Amino acid sequence: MRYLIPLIFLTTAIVISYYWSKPIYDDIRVMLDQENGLNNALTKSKELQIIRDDLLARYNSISKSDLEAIEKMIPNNPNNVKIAVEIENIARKNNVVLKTLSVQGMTTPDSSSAPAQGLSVATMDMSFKASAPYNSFLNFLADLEKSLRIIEIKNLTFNAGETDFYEYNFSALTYYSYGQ
Amino acid sequence: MNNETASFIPKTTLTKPISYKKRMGLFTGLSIFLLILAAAMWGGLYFYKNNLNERLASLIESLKQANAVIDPDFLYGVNNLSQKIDTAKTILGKHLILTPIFNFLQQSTLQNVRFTDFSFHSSDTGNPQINLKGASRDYTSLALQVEEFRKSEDIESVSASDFTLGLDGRVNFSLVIVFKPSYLKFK
Repeated sequence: MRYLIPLIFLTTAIVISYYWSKPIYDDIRVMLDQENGLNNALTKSKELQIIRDDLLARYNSISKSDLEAIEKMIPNNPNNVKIAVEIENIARKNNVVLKTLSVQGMTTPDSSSAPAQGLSVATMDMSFKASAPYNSFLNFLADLEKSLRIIEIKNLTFNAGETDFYEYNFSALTYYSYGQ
Repeated sequence: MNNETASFIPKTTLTKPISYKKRMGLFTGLSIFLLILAAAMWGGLYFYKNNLNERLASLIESLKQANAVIDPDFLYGVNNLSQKIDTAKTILGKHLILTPIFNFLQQSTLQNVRFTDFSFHSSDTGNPQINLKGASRDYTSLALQVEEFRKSEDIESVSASDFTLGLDGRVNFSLVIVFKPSYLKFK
């Protein structure tokens, strides 16, 4: 009988510790981990803000025309009709008769040009046949090389005839990106 | 007569005094201490958890605000642009142009030599090259032409082949000219 009350006290202390305090303690441990994670995220977020401000300043320093040029150089899709129109316009400007123009629908991924992560780059093959006097051909070629949409000529053949009006066969490729 | 005075008040204690304050046993004290400690710990933990909850809520709110300022869409766009610029640099770094070839031919072709077939070829593995078919007045003119081409520092190699003497006395030939890629690089 003498030990009954101390035993009740002791049992109550154990019950409080085990059934009430321990679950709260376990929760606190989880919450402390969460707090640690959130603090890290907040620190990184502040670092990102600094990077963002820096990027924003740099982005604003790029002119709109330069941005458009970059987009034109490597568009986000093959834009095969657009490139055909562009070649046709360059030919027309230089009095070059475009006889055939074929832009492939099939494309090839180009990992050598793409950055290590993110953006993927592909090439699109095309071939065209043009007729023109030699000087017109040279001007046509120079304009193709100045085109913002990069046209990489892989093969070019022509034969000199009796008159100054030759037929030129081109095979070339162009680039585009297909997202991240 | 006896001088001693009688007293009813006892001079000494007859029995041990009864203590109403019982001494607390060690076990009882310890149990009370542990009970108080357990209760205090529970209370402390309870309030600490509530406090932690408020701190977490505040952190989540701060993080939301910080993320809103960062604007992930903007970062995605800028990252995409940055990668495009890098890609454009890589592509332009290996981009070849053909106009220097024709300038070279115009400047280096001798008067007694005439070209009839032109073929340009470039690949990712080898250096860009042209295959020419032509005719020269004689073998000396052909030799001089090859020497003239070889003078250029932008030429990797020049090789002539398929010499045939035509009915008109002219020498038909084939030439392969391999250019240094740097000569044709877009600048």
